[in-house]
Amino acid sequence: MQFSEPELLAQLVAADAAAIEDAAFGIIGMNLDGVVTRYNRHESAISGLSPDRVVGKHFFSAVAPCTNNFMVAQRYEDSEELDETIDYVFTLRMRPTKVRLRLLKSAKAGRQFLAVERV
Amino acid sequence: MDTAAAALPLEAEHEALLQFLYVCPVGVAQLDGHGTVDMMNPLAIQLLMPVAPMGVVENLFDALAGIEPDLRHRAESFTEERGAICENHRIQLSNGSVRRGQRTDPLVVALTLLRIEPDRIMAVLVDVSKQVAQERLVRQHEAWLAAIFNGVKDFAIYSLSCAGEIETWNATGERLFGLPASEVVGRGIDVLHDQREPSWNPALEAARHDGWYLREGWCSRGDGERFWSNTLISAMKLEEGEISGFCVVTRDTNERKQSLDELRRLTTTDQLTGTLNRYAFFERAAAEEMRCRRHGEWMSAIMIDADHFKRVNDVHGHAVGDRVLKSLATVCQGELRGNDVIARLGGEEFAVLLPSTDPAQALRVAERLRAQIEALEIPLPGNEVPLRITASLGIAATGGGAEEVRKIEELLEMADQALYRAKHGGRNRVEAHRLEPAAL
Repeated sequence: MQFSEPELLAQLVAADAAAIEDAAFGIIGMNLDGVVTRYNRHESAISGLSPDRVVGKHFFSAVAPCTNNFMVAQRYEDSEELDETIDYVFTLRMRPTKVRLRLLKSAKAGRQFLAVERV
Repeated sequence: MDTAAAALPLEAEHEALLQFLYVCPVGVAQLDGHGTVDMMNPLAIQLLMPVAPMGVVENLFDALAGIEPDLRHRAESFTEERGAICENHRIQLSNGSVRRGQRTDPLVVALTLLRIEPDRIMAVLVDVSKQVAQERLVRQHEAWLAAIFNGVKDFAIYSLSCAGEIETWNATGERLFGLPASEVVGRGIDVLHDQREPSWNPALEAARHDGWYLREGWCSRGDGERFWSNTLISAMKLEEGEISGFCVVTRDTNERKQSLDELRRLTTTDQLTGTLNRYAFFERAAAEEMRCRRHGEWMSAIMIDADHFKRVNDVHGHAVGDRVLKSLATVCQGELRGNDVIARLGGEEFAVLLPSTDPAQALRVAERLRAQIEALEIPLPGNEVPLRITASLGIAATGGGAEEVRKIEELLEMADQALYRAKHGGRNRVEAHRLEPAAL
């Protein structure tokens, strides 16, 4: 699975748990309400948080409030289908880290994802 | 092993701390003594985003140099080993904007820099945008009200506590009353009014009961000057109906009062002599007549006629004739009491009404008037010897418990008959009407 794969959204929707777990970039899976359903190993490693601290929580407000803005959270809210890549800064382990975010949403499939790649 | 068992909770604790900082709603950062960022939580970088175009803040002082150039200097010149370099220092990081029809307030953060040790500074960033916007709104309202208040020239707007003490005082009050807040706040509303005015307690009571009260009266300024005023007191009610105090508007109506007084003077006085005119005299006399009937008091009248006045006019001209009438009126007015009324009824004829005066008193008054008129010296232009005049006076009285009180027209008629006799008796004398001789 590649971060810049054009069909990433379709792949993620179809992927089993293991495929998402093993990806070489961070993947946060959410339902359409923004509640975290998957927090893969890579994401867990760069954030320092284990999945059981995150899964079941609302991502934009309880996990990463720094994404609760018009650049990230608002785009999920505003679109039914979403696939956009933006440059962003995550403060991972208290150190600002440049990342690329791929915002993915399929209302039809009832899933949304945030893919995170360190620059 | 023990160490492994101990390490697990430590790791978990570390994770919990990490998470705590990730969701912390306040921006925190650790800097070295020169502002280089060592650690920073997500909200800190989020707040600093407008000054971190690449999304990274390596040095806080550098990032803020464009907005707060003094920050580095303040931190580096801070001599204490530990302490606050700045506390809740407000920094506006972005202008307000309108996005998708929604207004965004300017981003303002309150920055606190605490030196922990010589090469370690903790920075705390709090988003105070909403608070700042709120404060600005309050200031706008205040400025708006102030503009109204200060634009008002002849109104004072102030408030009273529930107990009637002056609670707030602004420029309008200072201007109208010439009194600073320090002299009036905490004192009763009576302090603003002339001491001779009745107490304000009933007015406040009425306002408490009816919601408002309007009163006219004399106010006094700080310099002791008085002005006629209109005061509206409105009770300020809380939702539960309880009264929290009063809002008061006092208006200076001096000019209006003066012009009304002037109008009254013009319509009621005889222009030449300044005494009342015929109309005003009968109005006042009617009121006195009523009093006389009600209380059974005496009421007397004196008719005065300047002797040989036609001759004065013929010999010395009308200007001197006018001067004679003025002098006669002035000397009489000086002799009369406050309640007495003198009017010019026509030509050289004056009438005096003496309320609560019996015939004997009236006779004494009339005699004094006669003597004063006789003593008058009216200067004649181009003549060293002043003109001297005399007058004849007739008096009449009514009331004094008598069954039939004469109407004012009758009373004057009686006095006129006495005057006629005084003229025929040789002038410069006082005669009383014969129907009431008993008391004389």
